[in-house]
Amino acid sequence: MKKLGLITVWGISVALLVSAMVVASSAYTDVKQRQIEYDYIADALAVPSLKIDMVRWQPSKDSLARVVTEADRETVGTAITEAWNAHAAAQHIGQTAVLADYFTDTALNRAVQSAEMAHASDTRMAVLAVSAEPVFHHLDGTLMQLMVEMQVARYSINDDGSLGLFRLTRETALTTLVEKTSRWEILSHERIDAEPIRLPPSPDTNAIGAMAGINYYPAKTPWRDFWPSYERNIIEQDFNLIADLDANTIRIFLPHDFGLNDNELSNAALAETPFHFDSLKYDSPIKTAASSDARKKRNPTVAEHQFAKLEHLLDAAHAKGLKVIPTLFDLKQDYDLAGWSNDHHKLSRLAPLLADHPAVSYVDLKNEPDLDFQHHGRARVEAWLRSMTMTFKNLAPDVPVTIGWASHRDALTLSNILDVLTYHDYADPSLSAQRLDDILARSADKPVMITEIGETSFTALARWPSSEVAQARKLSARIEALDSSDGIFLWTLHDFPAPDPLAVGQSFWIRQLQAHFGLYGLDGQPKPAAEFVRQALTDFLEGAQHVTTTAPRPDIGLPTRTPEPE
Amino acid sequence: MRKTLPLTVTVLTLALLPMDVRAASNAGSPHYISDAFGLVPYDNYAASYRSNWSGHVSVFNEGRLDTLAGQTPESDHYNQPAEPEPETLLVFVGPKSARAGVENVHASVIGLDRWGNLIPDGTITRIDPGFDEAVETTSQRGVSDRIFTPPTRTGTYRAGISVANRQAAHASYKVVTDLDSIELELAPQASPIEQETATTLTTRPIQDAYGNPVEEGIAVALTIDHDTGSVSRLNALTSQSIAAHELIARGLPDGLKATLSLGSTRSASSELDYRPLMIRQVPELGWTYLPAIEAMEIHVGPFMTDAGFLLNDGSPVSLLLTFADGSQKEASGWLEKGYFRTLITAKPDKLPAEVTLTTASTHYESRLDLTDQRQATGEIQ
Repeated sequence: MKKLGLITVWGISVALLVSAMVVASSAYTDVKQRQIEYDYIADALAVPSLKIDMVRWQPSKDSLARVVTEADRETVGTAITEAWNAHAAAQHIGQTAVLADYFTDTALNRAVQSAEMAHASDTRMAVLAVSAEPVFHHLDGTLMQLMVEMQVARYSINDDGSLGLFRLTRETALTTLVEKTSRWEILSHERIDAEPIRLPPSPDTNAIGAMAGINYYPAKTPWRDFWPSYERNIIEQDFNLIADLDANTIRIFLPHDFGLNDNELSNAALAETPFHFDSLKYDSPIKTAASSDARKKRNPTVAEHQFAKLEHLLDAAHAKGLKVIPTLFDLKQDYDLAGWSNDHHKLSRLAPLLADHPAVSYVDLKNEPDLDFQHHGRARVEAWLRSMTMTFKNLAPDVPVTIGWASHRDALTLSNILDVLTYHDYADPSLSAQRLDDILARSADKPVMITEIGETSFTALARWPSSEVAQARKLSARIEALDSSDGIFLWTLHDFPAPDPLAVGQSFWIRQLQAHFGLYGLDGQPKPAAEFVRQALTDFLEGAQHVTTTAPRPDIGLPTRTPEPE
Repeated sequence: MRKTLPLTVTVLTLALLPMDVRAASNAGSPHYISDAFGLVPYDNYAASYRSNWSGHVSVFNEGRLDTLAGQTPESDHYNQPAEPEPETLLVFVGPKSARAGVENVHASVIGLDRWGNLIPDGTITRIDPGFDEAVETTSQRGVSDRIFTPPTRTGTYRAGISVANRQAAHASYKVVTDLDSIELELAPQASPIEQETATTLTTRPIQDAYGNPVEEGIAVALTIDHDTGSVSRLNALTSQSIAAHELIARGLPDGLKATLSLGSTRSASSELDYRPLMIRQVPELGWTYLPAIEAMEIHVGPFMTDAGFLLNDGSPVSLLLTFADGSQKEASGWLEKGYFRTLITAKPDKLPAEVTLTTASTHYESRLDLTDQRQATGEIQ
């Protein structure tokens, strides 16, 4: 009887264990799929947007009845920005009541009708930038006319949600504003001329060469903590590790609002930051403001501080012989038309620095935008990508541009206006070579790079779902499969003790998986994968057949932990 | 213009098109139209009031991307002109209150045709400033304007504007006194200011450089400098171009100087004729010994003025005691309810003492005695 009881308890225990493993396995399968598709990123972010005046002012060629003061420029600039942003929002949501706050008379009538028509017929217009020259200012300050040059994107959405017509124009218009109880409203807006913004000739991509790269965040400050907690010493130490891996490139991430915040850092914030800011080295619009005498009498702005860190990172990489691929709009929350002018402003600030710095090889405009198609609409995301790509290429025509597609299925999207084709390969490694061959066959001889591959070493129980040795083996196999590409970038250098939940989601499984993608462990020591990857990258760059996990390894002198048995 | 035009104007609207979009589109039929306010399918555009909006119009025969160029090529474009006749005139005349002889007045008009378009350049406009001959000008970017110097005489004027023979409603503006050019001066006093008596200080008539009187109800400040670092300030409103400041003088020192100010204009400083305050009789002195702190509390009062009132609270009082052994003690403070009290760190055995009191610009010599504690005699100096 007692024996029977023990058997029963044992049987129940086994059954519970098996059930738990089935549940865990099922959950892991779901998570793995989400990990491949990174869907969680799109719905995990909540980043507040900045309100930035889209108007840049030009001096008047003619004398005006009344001087346009700095205060006038600020209030009129705000009025125009808010008016076009409201018009953009009205097209999207189909509600036009708010337009009466920003337009009046003829312009209100037209803004309302155009927004209603756009909403009904699935067309959109977004104003990206305005350059304004005052041509009339009434003596009592109640009426102003501006000759404006605007950058405007227009597109239509097909019935299947794809992008139909797309048009990016530089257009001249006459905007008439009237002051109403201390605020300005647009009374009339008439377009005088419109020219398409054309793509400049493609830059030479031959100089890019083969790339063996690392997607980089510091171990303790990944994602949103990276730039606020930027430390010179850690960056330089990590770049030594990357160079020791025989990588020649790093891929970094600039958050979508990088370089836009012109608020001064408080004394408390400055005291907390480990990064000392003195001055900006490279020419850019932000340096003009930062270098003025007024700058010496105030604290640096958030944007100036960020630019100084970026300059340091690029210099540090250059000193180590590393090239840099900046990814520009990381963690972008939405593609609302009202935010496109902010994005344009960001590009206008960043482009001069990225164009001038010798460490920058090419620019990744957006990380994995194909994951946003479902949530934000393919047409809108694609129109934004086209607008920003064409804007950047006109601002920095010598800098090649790519988009880091999450899936090979979209790797050829916009390929005609991109200079380098890149995608990420987390899917079935046995098909990696086939996917690459498919892209190469249709790449029109443009460089094709896989800017993210990676494997977790997270072990929950008995080397399940992965292990450090499994990580090394899988990475080597994938690098081997992709060796006909022009570049391979690993995710990532370090394991992360605390992955940012706003970036990777709150799921326990995902956070554990994301914590263990590094080539270096939480203890700072190289994992077995580091050794394998180093050799594989060396072989890749030399164009040689890469090593396999079964091949004998040369002693490469890196300290490593004893791998657990397979 | 605050009319709401119908979204759909039907075939009549099409007939009004100065340019046939279909003709402008060389190859094939138009698919989309872009204008200043966006992108619209051609059928919607052609059937709506929108087709009458003036300005640059782009025509697209394709509704899809040209992947090589990165965007959709334009099939054609044209400029939709405004109609020559204005239907709506928006008049702006200002500043609404121009300072005489200083500020110009700007009269401008925005001309809109019946669709709300800015009228064409070169449209004849007549601007009548309301005090002189009308002048003729032409529109540019939909606006016609003229800047003129108004008369130096204050008053309300009516400007009239007509564009292409359409008359706008008149717009009025005022010419007002130039407060920056006024001269402020106090009228001579008929008699000295008496203590504790209501007195009125009036200005001379206030007018600007062109003889325009100041408007009614303008605040004029009178500032009396006490020459002690403190000032008194009175405000009065103009009435019939004069400001009258009423004051009751109490405890004011000699050498009062007054200044008038209106806006940013200040008068020269002028001395006020003022009769100093007099104390009717020497106040009584007394003392009380406080053994716990080995000090005497000295109390002086009441301080009565020659007008029969207690000297006002807060009047400064200083006290100097010179004891028989030649040592001195000083104290100062302010009156409260007609009395002054202070502590002197000395024992009564140091008495008698010669006392010097100072208040209301007057010195008193008195004596504080050990045996006659509350009686003191002396003369006002």
